[in-house]
Amino acid sequence: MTDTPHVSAEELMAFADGEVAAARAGEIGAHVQACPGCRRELDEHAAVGARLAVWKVDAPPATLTPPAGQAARPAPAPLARIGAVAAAAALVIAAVWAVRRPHEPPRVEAPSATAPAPAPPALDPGTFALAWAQQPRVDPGVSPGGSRVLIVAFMDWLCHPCHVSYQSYRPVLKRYEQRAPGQVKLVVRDWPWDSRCNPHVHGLEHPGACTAALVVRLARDRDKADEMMQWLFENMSRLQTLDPADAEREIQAEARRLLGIGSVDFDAAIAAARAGLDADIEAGAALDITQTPTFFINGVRVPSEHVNGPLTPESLDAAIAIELKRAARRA
Amino acid sequence: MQTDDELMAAFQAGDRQAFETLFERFRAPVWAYFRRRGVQADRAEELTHDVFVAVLQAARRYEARGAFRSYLFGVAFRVLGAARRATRQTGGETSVTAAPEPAGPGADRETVLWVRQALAALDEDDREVLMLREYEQLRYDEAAAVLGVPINTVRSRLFRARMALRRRLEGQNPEGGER
Repeated sequence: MTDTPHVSAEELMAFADGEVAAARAGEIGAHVQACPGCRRELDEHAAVGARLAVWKVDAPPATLTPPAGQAARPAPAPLARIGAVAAAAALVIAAVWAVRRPHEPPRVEAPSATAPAPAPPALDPGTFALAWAQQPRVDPGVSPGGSRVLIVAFMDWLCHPCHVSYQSYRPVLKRYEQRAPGQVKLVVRDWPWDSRCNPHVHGLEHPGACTAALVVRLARDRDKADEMMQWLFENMSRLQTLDPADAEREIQAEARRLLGIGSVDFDAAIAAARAGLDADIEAGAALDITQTPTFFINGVRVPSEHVNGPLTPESLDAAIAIELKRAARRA
Repeated sequence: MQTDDELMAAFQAGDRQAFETLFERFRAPVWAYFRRRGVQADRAEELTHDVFVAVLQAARRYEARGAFRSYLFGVAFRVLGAARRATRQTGGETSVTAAPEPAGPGADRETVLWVRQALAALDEDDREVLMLREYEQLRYDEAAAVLGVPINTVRSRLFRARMALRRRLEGQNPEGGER
């Protein structure tokens, strides 16, 4: 066969482990058929696996019993607390929030493996308003200043849904800025999924997310936040394949280039930005952030834990309109 | 049968029975995780207990950002890391070479000893990836999440580990001195 793809021994191993994208696996499977060397290679991998499998360990003792206790408290589920009458409305509100899954663990997938997000159902303003009115509110710990609608957003700049929602909400916020200047305020706070700066992250991580948060802060001070975020967005998938130290180095190099800061000044600026980042992380921990993005609109948490996505631009628009009316009634 | 993630969600909503089902499902695998990494039986029992206490306490914050299984072994990985740090301070040792003596028929016994020696000769990072894959049956992305490294790193470490074992198996490197 002259058109068989080259298959490295490492890729062959990944193939045997079922860790190769479907299209490529088809190619490799066909290649293996015609390649005795590859089949031998696969057999040898299997032989190693079979040897390792011989090692069994003893059974745990009967004294190993489950620890006592409940989940510290039921997961915060504001929608679950609303009355039965509004349950149907709650379902509607849950559905309109759902655009895509929030924060996914770092993963590199073939584009073909990504299913298109289902189109959100049309928004019924009455039902939405009813459900919205019954949501619990928390204090997000940010002063609204002179605004009537305060939106606090916890973000990770190496999280795909964060970028998508940030970009898709901008036109909505811009429209309000023109219509009602100063009345709608967006405060972006950092929640990087990276244990290098965030002690509340366990297990799943975005290597480099702490550095990404810091350089976006620097860029914001220098009016270059959009360019910085754009670069992070475009390079996110690639950065997630690097070792954390390499990802951090790359992000810093790009930030220095974009912001035109020398390395000494840059290190000082990064160190200075750290206090603000730490404060955001502690604020996020106090608010039980478990996914990004998480928005608080005048204290209403969106999305709640069991809702499978952030709000759509349409529902953001509806929520802001409701909150502006509510503030006007109170004024 | 409910999936692990469904059980965890039920537990978050206050269903204690769901937690007990998860415990039954994973008590032996978590126990085996510690035993294969050289933890003595009484200590393995304590550490397994610690893992489930951590799950219990973190349930409020838990979000299904990956399989529950990889989350659980991520907790076990950190619990073991903390235990090893504490042991080093007191001069003790836990490693794959200190793993329990195998029981069973003679031929298997020899193979197990071979496996233990072969694993012990591996680089520590390579060995952990290989063990997560072979014994905890984690996917590459799950092992990456447990260890906090990129998937490509998991793949390359795994490849290195398996090639070293193959060389050993082929008898080209019987003493494990060459890498």
